[in-house]
Amino acid sequence: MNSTLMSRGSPHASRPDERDPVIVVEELTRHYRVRLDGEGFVEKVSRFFKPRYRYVKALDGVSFTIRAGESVGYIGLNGAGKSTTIKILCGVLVPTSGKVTVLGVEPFRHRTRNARRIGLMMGQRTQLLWDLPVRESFDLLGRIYDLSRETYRANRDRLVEALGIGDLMDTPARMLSLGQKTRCDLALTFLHDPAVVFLDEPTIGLDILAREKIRDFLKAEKKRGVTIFLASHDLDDLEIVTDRVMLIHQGKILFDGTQEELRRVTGGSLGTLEDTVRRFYREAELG
Amino acid sequence: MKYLAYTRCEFLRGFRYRANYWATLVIRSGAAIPESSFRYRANYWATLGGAAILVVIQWSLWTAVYRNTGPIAGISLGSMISYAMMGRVVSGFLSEPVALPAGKRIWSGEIVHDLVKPADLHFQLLFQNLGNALYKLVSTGLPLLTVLWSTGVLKVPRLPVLAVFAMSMLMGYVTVFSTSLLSAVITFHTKSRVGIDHVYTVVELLSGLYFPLDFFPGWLRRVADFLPFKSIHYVPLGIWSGIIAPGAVASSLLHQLIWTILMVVASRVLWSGALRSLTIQGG
Repeated sequence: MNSTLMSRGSPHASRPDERDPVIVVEELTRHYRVRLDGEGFVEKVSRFFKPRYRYVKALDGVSFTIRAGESVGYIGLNGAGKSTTIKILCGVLVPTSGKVTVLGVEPFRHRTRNARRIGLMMGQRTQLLWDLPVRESFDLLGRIYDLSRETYRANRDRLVEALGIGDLMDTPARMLSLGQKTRCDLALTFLHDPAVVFLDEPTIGLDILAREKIRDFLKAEKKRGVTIFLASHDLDDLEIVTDRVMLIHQGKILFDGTQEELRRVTGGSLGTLEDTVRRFYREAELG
Repeated sequence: MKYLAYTRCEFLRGFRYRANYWATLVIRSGAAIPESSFRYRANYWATLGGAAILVVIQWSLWTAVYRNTGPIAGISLGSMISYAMMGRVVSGFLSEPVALPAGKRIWSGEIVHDLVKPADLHFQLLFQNLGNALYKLVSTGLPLLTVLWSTGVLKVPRLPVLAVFAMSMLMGYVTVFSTSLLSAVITFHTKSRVGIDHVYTVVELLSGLYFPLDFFPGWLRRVADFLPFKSIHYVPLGIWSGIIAPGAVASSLLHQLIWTILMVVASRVLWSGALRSLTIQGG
């Protein structure tokens, strides 16, 4: 199995822990500032001029290393810090403290350089051009990522084939169903051959068949050596696609290991990942 | 120039609705046509119709004003008509880019997608909006120009003047875009557009949208001559209509060039600042 998971960067390495680290996160914290509203008229007015803030720790000392070709599932309740982590790794959000490198560069300092080598897909937002045929979105990204004509055509045709979106290429994005839109978005995310892909709830709101297609696609991309970072509330996604899971709660990583290890920790080997995680929360009295 | 891809998409987007309307009609003839296609098409004709009405109003207005008088502030009726009519032709191209989606994108969180592209966000917006401006020029300006030219209302100047006019108009576009970007940054900080809209009316007056700056009282003329906004309408239209004397064209273009660069730099610096505070504070 390891041989099929070989990273493209280091063909000699066969064990996961010998491969090149792709993402290194050390003691990462991220605070959000929330403006406090006063009580009563005078306080409300005076706080407009002299605001007071409350600080929320979205991430509180997070550390992990992800190596080339790994597929990692990121589990957490709403507001646990999943999206914040992804935004920092994409360079869209600046950390409050700690060290972050993605493929050797700090994402927020070299945002555009980082952007060339990563892919981001957010299940709740589309990057398709709303009014134009899907084909135009592909053409635009091909140009923006400076892909050569051959690379662009080859990548596009491969993804169109893999996700079965050939018939949708001439349809305006606004006329697509959610499942069709998601498949197109996924293809766009992989168009420039990213080494790492961040997926934030890619299967949200999809029917079972659409979810299955997306899981199959991600499994195939994993085999090609793409490093996958998958955050989802659909634990079936994680169970099928990822080898390793990380569980974040209130900004702290509570568990980091394989699915088998998580099952061992929670003291039972039966049941799905969802059952296991539910038991984990119950035993840690977090739910 | 990869950014022209943004221009292309936004340009096509304008035409999309109409094309889509015919496609829908052919493919599903008899079946229900989505209401939205009608709306977009209606929108196009309404824009064109509105522009035509404004042309008639302006033409009547200036003809009436000039009826019993010679040149006003040194401007003949012919030049005035030329200024006003051409002003209608390019008004879409040089209008405030309301489609400037920066503010909307920030609040909806969609800006994350723009930020994870290996492309400068400022240029993304500049070129994307250029596509929209060109769409307005081709879809509304061009038919209007054709009618005005073929009926003899508007005379097209010689080729060198035309070339200088085009250059001036492009700088006008960059100025109006930069002005809008600046106001978008202010909106980002105040989180409200009230106030900005009022200021923009003054900007339109100072830009020469309603009439040439030559009609201003002396003090206001000096203010308007100093500010960057005359670059938007007065300079390109003044060159087209000959209101700016051939001898003064070079200095007007220099004024435009200097202010265009300053406005681009200023809006870029403030925009990057707003973006930085967004990535530091979090969206």
